[in-house]
Amino acid sequence: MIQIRDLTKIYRGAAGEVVALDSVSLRVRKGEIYGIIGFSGAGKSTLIRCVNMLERPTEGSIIVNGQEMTTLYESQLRTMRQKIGMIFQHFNLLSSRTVFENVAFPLEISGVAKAEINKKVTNLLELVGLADKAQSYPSQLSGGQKQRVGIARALANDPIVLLCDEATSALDPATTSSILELLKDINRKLDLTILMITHEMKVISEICDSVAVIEGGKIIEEGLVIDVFTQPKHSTTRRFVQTIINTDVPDKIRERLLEKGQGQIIRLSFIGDNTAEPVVSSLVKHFDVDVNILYGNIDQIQDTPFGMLIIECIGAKANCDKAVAYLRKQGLRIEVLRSAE
Amino acid sequence: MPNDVFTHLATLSPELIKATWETLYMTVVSVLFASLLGIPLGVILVVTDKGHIKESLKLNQILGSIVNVLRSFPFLILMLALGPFTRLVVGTTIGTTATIVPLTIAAAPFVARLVETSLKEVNWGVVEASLAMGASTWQIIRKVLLPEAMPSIILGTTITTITIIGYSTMAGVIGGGGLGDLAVRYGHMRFDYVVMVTTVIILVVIVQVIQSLGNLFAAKFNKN
Ligand SMILES: Nc1ncnc2c1ncn2[C@@H]1O[C@H](COP(=O)(O)OP(=O)(O)OP(=O)(O)O)[C@@H](O)[C@H]1O
Ligand SMILES: [Mg+2]
Repeated sequence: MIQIRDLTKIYRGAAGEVVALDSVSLRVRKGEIYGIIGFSGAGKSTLIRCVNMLERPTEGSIIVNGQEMTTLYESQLRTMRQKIGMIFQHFNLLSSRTVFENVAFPLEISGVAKAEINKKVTNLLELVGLADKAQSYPSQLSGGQKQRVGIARALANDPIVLLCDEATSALDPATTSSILELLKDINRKLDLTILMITHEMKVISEICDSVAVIEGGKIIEEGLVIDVFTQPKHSTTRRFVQTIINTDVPDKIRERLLEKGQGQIIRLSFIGDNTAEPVVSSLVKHFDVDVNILYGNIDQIQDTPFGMLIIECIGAKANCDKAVAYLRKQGLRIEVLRSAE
Repeated sequence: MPNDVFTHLATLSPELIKATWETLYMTVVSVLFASLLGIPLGVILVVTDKGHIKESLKLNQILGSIVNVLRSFPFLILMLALGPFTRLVVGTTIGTTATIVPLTIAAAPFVARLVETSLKEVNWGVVEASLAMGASTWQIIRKVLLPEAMPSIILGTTITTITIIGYSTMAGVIGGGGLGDLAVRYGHMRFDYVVMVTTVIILVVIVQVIQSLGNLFAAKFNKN
């Protein structure tokens, strides 16, 4: 649905050149929610703003729904933009218009008839749960409600793609969740492709299907969210993952690893339904070892549970080795943190 | 003594009323024409500015210079210098109607700068959102910039109106009449302080009323 190839953006200013994007390529499939995450200054805003040409790329190609964006004339670009919805961190609603009139705005822009506008706006306000606020002004709304208006407005012209520029960064955690839920809901109901940028891993984990990590204007890691989360390759990615899942070994256990002991300390990581508990109990049953659970956590990315367990396996060395060999066969990722004496 | 004042004012009341009307007439018509010229000029100054929706630095510089030159003329000199132009437009260089031409020319660049300032205050994010929705330059001007800046433009128009009332008091020089002229003729030249004080009071009342109306309308349009 969106295909970006070798996109480079260089800002030329008095202070010299800033390479905001350096040969970025990515592909967003139809109907998916694609997240781009990065720290401040990584180039996220620049990237998403290039998609609808709010920012002119220095080089490269951007194809939305089969249409090359970089070569469009002004009038063609306007027509195309009507089909690309966008929501913003600071909502950017017209303060002089009511909620109803704000949602009607893009329809007026594209020349839709009055009666049709009334019908559409009413439906959209229903969809975002703001039917009772139609005659309010933006200044009378909470942040979450403003963003709902922003979403309704972005959907007015039945877009083929929705761009979200830090859509939840100005909201508190509870409101963030409700807005994310709304976006997910819209994504499912309308089969709408969504491209969102954020600096919060929580946003990615809650609703994205795919994720790209951007740093210094380059995509450093990309893939399905579940894969990137469970096997982050790049150190920056790991830092992001750690903001929501603690894959670190807690200090207490770290100390214990340094102590001498007879047991083996093992970390089991699991993804999906392949949880560790039945495996642990069968260790005790079949290998004549004792198992001490030292630490564990389970998280869920959308519908897939994943997590890790740190156990201490106490028993004869041969038995412990057999137990580890057994664990490896169970499709779990095994790391021996401390071997037996 | 108070009786004297009242009878004096009563005999002069036709002239006071006439002068008040002249002032109001000059002011209202000038503000109207000045806005007609100044608002589009202000809009062009904004949208052609660097990084705005219709960047055109050449045009911006030319218009900006014209505005600056006109604004640096003292009104009295502008009024006299514009004589030939005034004759071209209204057929005469003296009288109340003739005063409207220099008042308009003096106020238009003033309006343009005020409108420019008002439009620049409009949240740029809203303009970008409109661009992202595929709005044209004209649609952004008409549906975004002007409505969003409306409270500020109304307050600017209030300032313009009060400024023009001030300028209009110099209209006597070219036979324009009005309250200022009356005050000079009676108060200054004949030492008739009753008339002088009365005209000043009327001017103060007019200014107060205009300011209050301006504030009222601005508040009505302000949805923040
Ligand atoms: N208009 C501009 N002119 C010059 N440099 C710019 C401009 N916009 C962005 N940059 C630079 O480009 C780089 C990327 O900026 P961008 O806004 O895309 O980052 P970001 O990832 O969105 O950051 P944040 O999370 O802080 O919003 C930064 O170094 C920034 O200073
Ligand atoms: Mg940004």
